[in-house]
Amino acid sequence: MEIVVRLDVMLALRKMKSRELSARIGISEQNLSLLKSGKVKGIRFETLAKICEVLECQPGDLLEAVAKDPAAR
Amino acid sequence: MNERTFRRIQRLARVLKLACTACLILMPAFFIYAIAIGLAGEPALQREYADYVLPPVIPLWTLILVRLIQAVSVLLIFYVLWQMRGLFGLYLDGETISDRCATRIRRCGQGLIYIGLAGVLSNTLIVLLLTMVNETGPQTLVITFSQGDIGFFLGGGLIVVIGWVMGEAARIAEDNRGFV
Repeated sequence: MEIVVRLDVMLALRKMKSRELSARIGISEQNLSLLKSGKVKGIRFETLAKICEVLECQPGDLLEAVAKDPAAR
Repeated sequence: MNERTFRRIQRLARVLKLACTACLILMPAFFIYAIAIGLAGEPALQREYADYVLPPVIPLWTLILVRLIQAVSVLLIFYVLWQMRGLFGLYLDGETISDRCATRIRRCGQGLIYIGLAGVLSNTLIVLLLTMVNETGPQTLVITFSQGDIGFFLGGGLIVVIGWVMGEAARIAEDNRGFV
């Protein structure tokens, strides 16, 4: 299993730009971009809570566990 | 790290880097001057080791060998100064917790341990060399631990350990950078 970040989907649903979200949760746009692309080792509960608060959603709306693609191994 | 601490590190690093650079330039100049005025000659050596029974005339090869043995400690001091200068340079550039800093710290510590070791071994070797050519007097083998040597061992060991800890801190800091 691997964790996939669905932040871009939630941003589209809320019609919010990455720039606005990064400004409201207090992290850099670069870090938010890395988070959206899943190129991070992890996300702090503090950051997750802020994103959930701003986007009015649950952590499960942002993160999804999916089976690893066997071809990618 | 807060801005105030960071500025303080940079300020101190600038001064210390300058001091290391000055030592690296002045030390060779001092040694050249010492050789030029005859402080590296036989009479000086006789005075340095006046506590031991030395031959009246020290052969040239022994004199050269003694000075070469002493030069090892000087070269080690240069090595430590060079590593310190590099470390302060990194601090000056704003790189405080990194693997490169940890490596420099470890090398400084190792250098200090080697200086302590060279201090003990060189004295033993020099006294043995000087008294070996003694025809009339006794040949002497001495092993001395000065307070300075012990200080170098302990100080060097402490710095090596700090270097290892810094390496681990750098690894954790790098790991933390992967979290948002």
